[in-house]
Amino acid sequence: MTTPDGRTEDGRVAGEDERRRRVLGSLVTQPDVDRWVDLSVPGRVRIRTGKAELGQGIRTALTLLAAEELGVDPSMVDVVPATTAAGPDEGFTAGSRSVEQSGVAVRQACAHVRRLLVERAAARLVRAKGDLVADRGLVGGPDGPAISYWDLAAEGPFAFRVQQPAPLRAAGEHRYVGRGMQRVDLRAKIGGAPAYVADLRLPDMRFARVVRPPHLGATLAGPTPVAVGDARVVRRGGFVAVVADGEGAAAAAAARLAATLHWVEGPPFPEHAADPDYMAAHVVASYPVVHGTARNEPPRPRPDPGDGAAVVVRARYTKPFVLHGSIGPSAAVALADGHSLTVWSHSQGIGFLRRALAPLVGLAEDRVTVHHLDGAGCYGHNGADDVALDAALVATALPGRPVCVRWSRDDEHGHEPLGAAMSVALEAGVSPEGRITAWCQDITSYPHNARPIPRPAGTRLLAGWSLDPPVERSRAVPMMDFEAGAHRNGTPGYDVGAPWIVKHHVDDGSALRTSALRGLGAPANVFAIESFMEELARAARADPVAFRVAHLADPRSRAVVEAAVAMAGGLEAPGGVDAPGRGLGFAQYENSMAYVAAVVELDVNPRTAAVRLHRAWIAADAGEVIDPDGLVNQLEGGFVQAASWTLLEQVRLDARGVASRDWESYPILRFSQIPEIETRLLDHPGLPPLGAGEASCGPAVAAIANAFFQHTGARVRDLPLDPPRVRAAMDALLG
Amino acid sequence: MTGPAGAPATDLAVNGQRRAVSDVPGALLLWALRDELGLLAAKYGCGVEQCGACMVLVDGTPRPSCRLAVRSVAGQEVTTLEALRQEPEGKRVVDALVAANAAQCGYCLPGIAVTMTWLARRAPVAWAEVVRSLDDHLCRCGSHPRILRVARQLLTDAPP
Repeated sequence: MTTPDGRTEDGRVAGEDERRRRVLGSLVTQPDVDRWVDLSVPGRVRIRTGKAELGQGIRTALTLLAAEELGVDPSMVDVVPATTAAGPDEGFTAGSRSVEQSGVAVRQACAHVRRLLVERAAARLVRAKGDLVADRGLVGGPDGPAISYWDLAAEGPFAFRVQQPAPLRAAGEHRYVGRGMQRVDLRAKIGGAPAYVADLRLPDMRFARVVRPPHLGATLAGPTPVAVGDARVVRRGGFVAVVADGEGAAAAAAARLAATLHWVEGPPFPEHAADPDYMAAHVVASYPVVHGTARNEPPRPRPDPGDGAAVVVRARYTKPFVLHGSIGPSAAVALADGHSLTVWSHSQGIGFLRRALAPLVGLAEDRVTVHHLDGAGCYGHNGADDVALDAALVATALPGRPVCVRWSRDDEHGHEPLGAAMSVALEAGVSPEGRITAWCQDITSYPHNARPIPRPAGTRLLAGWSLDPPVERSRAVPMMDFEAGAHRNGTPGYDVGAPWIVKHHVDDGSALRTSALRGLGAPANVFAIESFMEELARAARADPVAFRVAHLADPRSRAVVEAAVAMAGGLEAPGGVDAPGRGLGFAQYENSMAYVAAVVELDVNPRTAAVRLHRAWIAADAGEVIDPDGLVNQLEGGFVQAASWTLLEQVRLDARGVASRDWESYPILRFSQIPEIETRLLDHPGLPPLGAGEASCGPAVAAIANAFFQHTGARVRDLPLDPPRVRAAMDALLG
Repeated sequence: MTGPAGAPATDLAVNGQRRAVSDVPGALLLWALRDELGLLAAKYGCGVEQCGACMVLVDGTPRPSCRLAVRSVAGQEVTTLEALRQEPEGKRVVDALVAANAAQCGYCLPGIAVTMTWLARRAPVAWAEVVRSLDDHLCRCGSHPRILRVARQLLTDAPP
């Protein structure tokens, strides 16, 4: 599915020649270099990006790339936060694409600017271009005068549209790229200086909390007071907020108001929504996945894996609903004056948010400005966009006054879009020679994308559904693009001939809402495929690593698998009969981005039945490495988050909605549960950088499941691998 | 006593200064710090003492500030990261975390830095206690391995 400007929903350019996209990044749709590079402030290089800092360190990676290509010290580079008022529109910051799209574009834009500066200097100095070099802020020759970049830039805009790549600095001459640096934003964040949307303070600012329905689908009945103590009540249909001078006062007033409101329960919530039988009963459409892309056509006849096979294996794997679980609940600041609206938001897609907000506040799109400001890590589509509408609605009722709205923890757990539950059923055969004969895969999933993109009708912003009259909820539609949605990494990266893959789109029409969470369908698919490869290997009496390698045609895939196994010193942990278990997980993210293999070592606490992670080894090939430390941070962070999903996480539902409303009822991994992690990067200078921010998640899930099997002999196919499930699996072995 | 607008107020000792904050029923330390004193290092995360994002020192001991009644800390010394980062142990902790890029989004880090500063004042401490103390904090980005590495270097003399 593509958006009106020809982008896929995760910001990629649809139908573009892959080579152009890889060498120009977002310049393909935003070719004007003046949009990206601004030399108007003497001594400073200002870089504009459409990508948001989500904690992935994009500001630092862009700083390195700009400094490298322009030949200036990184301390002279300012990466300006994204805003709809200026700079490139790069769609969503999602899908591990920040470096592939914005990084490549900034690098090329700066390389072109360097070339254009040399041209200007050549004209002024009456020298041949070839005699001049742009470096350290000056353009000049080995002798004679030099002119500063900023003097040259003052001649006016470059007005240059990039169509072809400019030569980049050679890898051997790199001063910054591949070396990394301290993250440019972390001193403020770690030191507690104001750094996030909810830390923004503007003159005359007010603070608001929304009183959300206690249950999904409930509606407000009866009147609301005009004030609660000193706090003013703002109501728009079923949307209710309280406004106070401080956030604490707003929170207290919201609690008082909530206790007095009357809500009418909606239809019963589907509390068994994660049950595979329930999901199967609510499949509304099925599509074959061919070469990684879903097609709106009937699937070809299902092959019989038994043909030519010595053994056939069938298995079904499931994952439950999970939360994004940002540590800081979603927040936004808005300021309206009756004619225009300005919003400060940690949305992943400020351009889309602007388009979604405008009709709901009765303004033309060009009267709405959205500035990105950092929030707590979101890992996908959490409450960031919804709270921006909340803030816009409250601000509209208080013209001239900036309003900060923040969700409570209960709001965030109870109302954020959930990461989709999935079920992946696999069937394959292995020939007497140990080759996979046929591969059949049914992927059944709730939607992975309910982001607020423009629709012919309705809205995807939460408060819109409660307005009077309500704006219809625009339901998520199946993602069809290459490696999108439920079929992300739904195609095995192994040589299995032409796999038969069908994705089944589940929509039960209920109040349940699911949307993008780190990796979309990839973690569940990789968990299924990598578990299944081991089940196949076992059925064929083959070594699981050798069986994988025999089916891996791509040498880069084989290299990361072999590297991770070598780092661990093999898949047999020392310790004899009491040895911990080791397991491997591998995937190339989206079968086109970073290659990651992980080996995990674990055991089970016999008293609590909790899985204890001891160690993990990660090998990754992300093409040319721009910021090695940032890359390792993303890979290890992705591993830890995925380990948390695997071992602990599932959203509890009841007949009224999400019952997991805090960190007690929805535990996540803690410091005492973190393994020692060692990561090795297989660097390829000169090759295109490959997105990696989500690449370790699937391999992590799979490696844990495989290590658990090796340790216990029990194959757990339903996540999470929490103590009740561990006990059940062990009991089943004995019984 | 009363505040400027006639509202009830309480005197708190925050970062070595006496500060009057409003003391309406249910007033909580986190919001007094953020809303009234402009001290934004303590973050709101859960409001129910489960995540540690709002950690401060009360009489030198880490306490989540999100459910702590203002009244209950009158007469006690409240110290936030704004003050801790100016003193040797706190500066050492913040500098070490920054140098190690020991964060992704960073939201949980100010609270963690408060706890680590408390530990640093008594360093070396047993590794088990370091981990037990950090377990009062949640991180969602998965920056734990780096934070643990910094903690090990800074807070304990145990071999790595």
